[in-house]
Amino acid sequence: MKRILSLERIRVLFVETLVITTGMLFGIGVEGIIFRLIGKSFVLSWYQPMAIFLTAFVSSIVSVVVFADEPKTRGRAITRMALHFILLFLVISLAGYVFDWFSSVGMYIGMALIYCFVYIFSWVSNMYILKKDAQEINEALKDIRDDE
Amino acid sequence: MNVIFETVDSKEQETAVIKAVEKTENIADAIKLLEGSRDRLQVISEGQTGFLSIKNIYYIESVDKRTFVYTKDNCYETKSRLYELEEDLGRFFLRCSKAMIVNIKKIKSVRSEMGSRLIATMLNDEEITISRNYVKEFKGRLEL
Repeated sequence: MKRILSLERIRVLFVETLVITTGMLFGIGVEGIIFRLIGKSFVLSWYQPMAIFLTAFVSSIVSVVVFADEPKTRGRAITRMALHFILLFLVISLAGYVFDWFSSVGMYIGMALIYCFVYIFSWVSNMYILKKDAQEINEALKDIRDDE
Repeated sequence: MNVIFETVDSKEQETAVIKAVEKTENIADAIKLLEGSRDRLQVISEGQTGFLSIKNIYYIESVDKRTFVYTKDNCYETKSRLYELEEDLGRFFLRCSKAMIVNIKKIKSVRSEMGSRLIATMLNDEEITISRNYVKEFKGRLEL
């Protein structure tokens, strides 16, 4: 428990909550513009901003708990990511049900597809950034590496 | 050699620049002294206490509150704690996970891995993991 609640994890929890909240509000903003462009009405209920914040907070807790320890093998890393993907989807589905984010099966499938797209996009972006970091590090290592 | 000394306001600003035709032994010693890093570490091997040259260390690992020092082919134990060594060994020794410090100079290459980690291949082809939390610090040590 102490390991999960370290200061660093609380900082990550706070930052992730803000990032997810911002992302979701941005998504709703885009949705509003699209609705306006196609001539449909768009109304945001009074509780939705707080619902988004709560969902972001719970999602961040899931992330912090799932990634509390570093996986030691590639297999564990894959399992952990799959678990994270499923748990986050459950959180978002439950939030969607409680806060009326979808009113039909079609809308639910649409939300699931958007979730998959955002998750995969984030993962690919992270891997790309890490690959670039690895390339830069390998270049820099050439200058300081010991000869053996 | 001309020596210039200037006063600065903070520890962070302290920098030593040595301009020389070549890196002589004296200059190498001066660099070691300025970097504040020790050059030997007391270790225990098969019950015998001895000293190990810092430059031979590949990585240091803490297991069950005991600290083990790994070289190219050998493993030693030391009484020092990981956090003490992290402070003492100088900027080329990087904390790469909660329980490990790696000598950056002994890393052959790194590659990205699932879970936002880096896998470092050492000069003796051993592989160690650099946790995602320490990648930024790693880049900082390499001035990237």
